Amino acid sequence: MGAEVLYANLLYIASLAVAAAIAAVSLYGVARKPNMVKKIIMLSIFGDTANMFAVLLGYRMAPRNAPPVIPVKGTEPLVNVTEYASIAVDPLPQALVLTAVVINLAVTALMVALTIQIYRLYGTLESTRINRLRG
Amino acid sequence: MRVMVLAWWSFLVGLASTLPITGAFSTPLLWVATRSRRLVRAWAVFFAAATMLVAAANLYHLLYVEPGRVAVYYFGGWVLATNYQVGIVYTVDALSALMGFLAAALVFAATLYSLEYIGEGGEEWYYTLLLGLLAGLMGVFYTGDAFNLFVMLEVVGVSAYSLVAYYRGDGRAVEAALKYAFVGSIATTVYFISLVIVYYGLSSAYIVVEGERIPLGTLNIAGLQFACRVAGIEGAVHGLNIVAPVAAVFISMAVWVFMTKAALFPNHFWLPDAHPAAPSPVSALLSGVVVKTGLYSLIRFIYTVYMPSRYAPVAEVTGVVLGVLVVAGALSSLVAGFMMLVQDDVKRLIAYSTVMHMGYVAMAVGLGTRMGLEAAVYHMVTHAVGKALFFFSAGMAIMVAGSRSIDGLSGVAEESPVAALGVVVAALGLAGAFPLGCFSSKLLLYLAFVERGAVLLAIVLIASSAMAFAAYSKLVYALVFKRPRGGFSGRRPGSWMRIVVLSFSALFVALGVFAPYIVGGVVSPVAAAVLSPESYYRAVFMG
Repeated sequence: MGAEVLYANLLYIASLAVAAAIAAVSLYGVARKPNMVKKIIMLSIFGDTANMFAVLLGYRMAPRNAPPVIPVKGTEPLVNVTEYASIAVDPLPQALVLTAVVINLAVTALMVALTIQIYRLYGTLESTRINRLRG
Repeated sequence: MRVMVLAWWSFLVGLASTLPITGAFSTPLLWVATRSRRLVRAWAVFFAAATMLVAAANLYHLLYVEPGRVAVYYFGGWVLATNYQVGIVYTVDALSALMGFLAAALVFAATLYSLEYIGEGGEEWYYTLLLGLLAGLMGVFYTGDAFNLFVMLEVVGVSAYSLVAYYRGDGRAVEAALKYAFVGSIATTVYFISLVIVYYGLSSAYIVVEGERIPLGTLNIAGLQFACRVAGIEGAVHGLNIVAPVAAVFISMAVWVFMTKAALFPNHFWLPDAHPAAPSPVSALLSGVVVKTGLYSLIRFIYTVYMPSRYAPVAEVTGVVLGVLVVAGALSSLVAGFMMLVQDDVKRLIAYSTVMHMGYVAMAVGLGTRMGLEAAVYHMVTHAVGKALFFFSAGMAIMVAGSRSIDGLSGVAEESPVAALGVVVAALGLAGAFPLGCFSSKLLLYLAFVERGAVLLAIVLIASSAMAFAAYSKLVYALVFKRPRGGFSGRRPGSWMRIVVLSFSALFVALGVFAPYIVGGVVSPVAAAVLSPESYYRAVFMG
């Protein structure tokens, strides 16, 4: 195994560890940060970490990581498709992520709208103060 | 690739969620084009009614025309095979059809009720969200794909969060909606992560058929069942050591998610804020069907995916999950019972009762017996009708009295007898009074617990019912026997609202009186369908 492959694989493992760490930090942020906007930022970070995790798991360690596009000449495939599928990166998690990104966008937009409404009604975004106002 | 010709009625399966989503997206366009409130309302009622008819046709077909059949619809014509699992398939067995019909019927009733309940200003957006909620619910109950379930849970979620915040001038409603949105979207994101893990894990295991490697990685529910089943065959799966931990991680994360969605202790904290803050017809839907998406998904994963496996580690995991459900269910009903006793806000009282009833259903599902499953299904039906009736009639009473506290509702019976009748029938029925709806389902629950020798669960059932009875008696006493305190709001409930409340009262009584026929004609076939997971698998992969 060449040095390049080794570095690529180390980078891959490091990114998985980083994803786990970010997920933990962002959940902490959602639970503990009093400011509504910070909570929403933390939640989108959590969602994006989940997406990154999905893409990372779809990736395969070198050297079995060809792009998931079958090489063709004209319309004839140049390789055995079944064999090629076993050395190519799995494209399905990317498709899942595409859907999840759109959903996260909708949820974030809704939350931001609700937060604006909270600010209009209470004049503050600190959740601790909002709870006190409610009594 | 397999080619197959679908029967005409299988298009009704595909129509069940595409019809309401069409209605949802066309409603605002119609409003912009015509600015006619009457047209928007008629449009919403039409789509809700049409969806209900489609759902009813599916239920009738699966119960009486072709009993034991599982209907499938492949979106986009992507027919699935075990070595070619691309595309989304809607797989409808009797349980899906029953839950779908329940959802569509409740949304239809809520739409009629809303015609007079929701005032001017933003009405078109209200019906858009209501139809969006219906589309999501039909998708959750009909889908045969675990990832599509995630998408549909989010559709339900986004519509539900917005509907909770419908009274956006009320800070408590907006705050409750935000809290609900945070909990809901964290839960669905965790579900997404669990799906990625199960997909990744299974795709590194494979079986060999005729010299060809077939990876097990899939997110189709029938495909997951296939993976769990072949794992039990000695030497069939290569890379087997990954299947058990993946199955365990997936189900433990998914159980947490669905317990949050179903508001089971200790993840019930969002429900008593979110459900009361919504407009009353929406509260009826949230407590009536939306929380049941969690329990439905649990039943689907436990009974359709995990139970058929003969693989020892998977069976072990299933046993643990069932135990967790029993414990969480018992704690939910007890905690909710205590909380009900101290509530002053009538809608919060009803919301805590939802936590209690979800606890009962979880206990029954956790028994893992046929009778437990029957009791769970029947209780989901009676609770949906009873809880919808409770919120519909309480909404009327609150409208008349202009107050949500129990004392503020004093003497509503004089002003609006229909509202009082609805509240009394719903309260007595949910507490388990003979011969109303939940009496028969609670009896079935009791028999299921005793049959399994779980006397402690039977005691929990009776004790929490007694607490609920005490909590309701305060409400019924205030409503019927107390003198009115001061004036009423002057608002009168409309005739559609009265019709909905009266017909749901009659339905709730009928669910109790005709219980033997309903259990024999609907609930038993549904339980039988859930307990024959092979037909679920066969329908998807072998047509």
